[in-house]
Amino acid sequence: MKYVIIGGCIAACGAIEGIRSKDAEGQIIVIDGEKRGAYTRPLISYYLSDPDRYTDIDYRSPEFFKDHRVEVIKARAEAIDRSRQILILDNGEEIDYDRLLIATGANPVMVPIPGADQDWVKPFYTLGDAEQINQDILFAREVVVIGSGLIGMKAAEALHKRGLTVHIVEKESHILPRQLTPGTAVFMHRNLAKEGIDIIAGDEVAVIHPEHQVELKSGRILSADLVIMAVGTRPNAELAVKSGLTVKQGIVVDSYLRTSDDNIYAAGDAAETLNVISGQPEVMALLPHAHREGYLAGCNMGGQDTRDRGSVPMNSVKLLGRNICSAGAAGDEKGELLTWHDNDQLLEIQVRENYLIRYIAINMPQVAGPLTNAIEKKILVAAGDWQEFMEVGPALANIPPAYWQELRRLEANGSN
Amino acid sequence: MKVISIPEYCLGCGLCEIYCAAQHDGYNGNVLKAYKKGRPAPRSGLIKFSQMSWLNTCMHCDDAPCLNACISGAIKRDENGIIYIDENHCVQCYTCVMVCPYGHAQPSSESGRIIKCDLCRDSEGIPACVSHCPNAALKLVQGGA
Repeated sequence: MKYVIIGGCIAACGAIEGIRSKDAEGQIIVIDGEKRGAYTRPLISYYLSDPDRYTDIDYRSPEFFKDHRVEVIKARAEAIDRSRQILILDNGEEIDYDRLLIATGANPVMVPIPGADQDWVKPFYTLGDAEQINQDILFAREVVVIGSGLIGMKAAEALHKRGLTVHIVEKESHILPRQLTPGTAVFMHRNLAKEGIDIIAGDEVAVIHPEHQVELKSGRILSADLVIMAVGTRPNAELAVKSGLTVKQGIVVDSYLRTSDDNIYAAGDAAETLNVISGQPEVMALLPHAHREGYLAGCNMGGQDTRDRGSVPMNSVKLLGRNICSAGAAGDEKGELLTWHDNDQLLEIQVRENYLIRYIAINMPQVAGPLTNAIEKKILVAAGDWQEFMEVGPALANIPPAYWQELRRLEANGSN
Repeated sequence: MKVISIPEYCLGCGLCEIYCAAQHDGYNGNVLKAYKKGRPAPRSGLIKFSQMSWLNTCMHCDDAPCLNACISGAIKRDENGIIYIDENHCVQCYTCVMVCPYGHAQPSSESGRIIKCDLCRDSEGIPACVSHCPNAALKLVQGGA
């Protein structure tokens, strides 16, 4: 069996591990268009905050590809000839495959705001971007970050640590709109303001003027030596579209990570997979998911039939000394909200018909793992038990017994 | 390899935690020395309910969520299948904490970095929690979850 993987990042590493768990002999080829091997993207903000300290940002050891007997070709995939099962590279080379995995990841969205085409308006997505910004800020004092998602916030934190004046412009009413609720965001806003980071929520950038000025819709004008556009990412599904595969938000796959072509699989930020809370397929561009999907795709490409049971959006991030873990439903899902807080810690959970569907934990990572798992695996715990958990004080030792019983049962069935 | 708990035998005495703490951070199993300076941190914690208790420890999963989700490469698997953490590489993002169904990997209250069970891989013999359990409620078994 000959396996070809397009992309050399997290999902690809997962796929290699998955394939090798089933097939020790088959040939594996990785087509990697990025200069560097598999590094973990979330670490680029750490690199930017302290470039001398974070030099090693590899996801796997340097020997990983060799140890798994993988050939890496540094090139970009240009086209897929599905009828002949051949991949055509940008250098003209043709590679035949039995099983193909598309793990092409995502690209940062650059909103066409007037003036956004100037060279001091940058994305912050690859290590190359971070290295470039690290050069650019040598003579910079002030920066505007557009978007307060995880990428925007981590970029803002890194630049703040480097001594720059940072303004964050967020069009929603609060930062981290995907992770936090308005109530929990207040907790973070206070902290960021205290640190001297300027948060401008509920406003948008209207024009970026060549005189290094950023004009907002409200009329406010900010001066900026650098603008970072961090409004989100979009699946890099161009190759799949060109090859006639079904693509909606991202590349459409079945629960075995197979695309509309039986010999072609997709995983990671380029694919859309099942969100178990909404019941709908969705692009969840997150590192743990990229590995899980890659791994399952690899197992299935190697001859196993394992279903992806789906997942939920989840994040854990540290911002200026505070940790935020969150997982589960989007803000518009219905369910009872329960909140617990104490000085610097906060936990908000959402329960619907005896199932936990969401949580936000600020400076409370201790309980996050079981809560994530309860949501993802839809573990039945009586709503009253969750209430008691919140009343006695959320701690690992107070997780409802029903959760642990179910965990042990799943473990005994080998389905955990 | 992993340590499994047998709740029916567990007395909830907590000796596992004490010997676990004393086996790490350079104390080499010397309980008196380890506890002289305060409360050293056990890697695994007891969970107690009114009717039962057990040591909530690492399953060293074959497909380990913590290892797969680690953004810094700090969590690793050694040649014996033991999932361990290179604490110096931990960036304290706590993604591993968020994805562990057992709530096993936890931040150290001192350094903020993650600490977890390493099956006492730096010392000879079976893990300290197993060898010091007075009622044989802990067993070292082959295979991960």
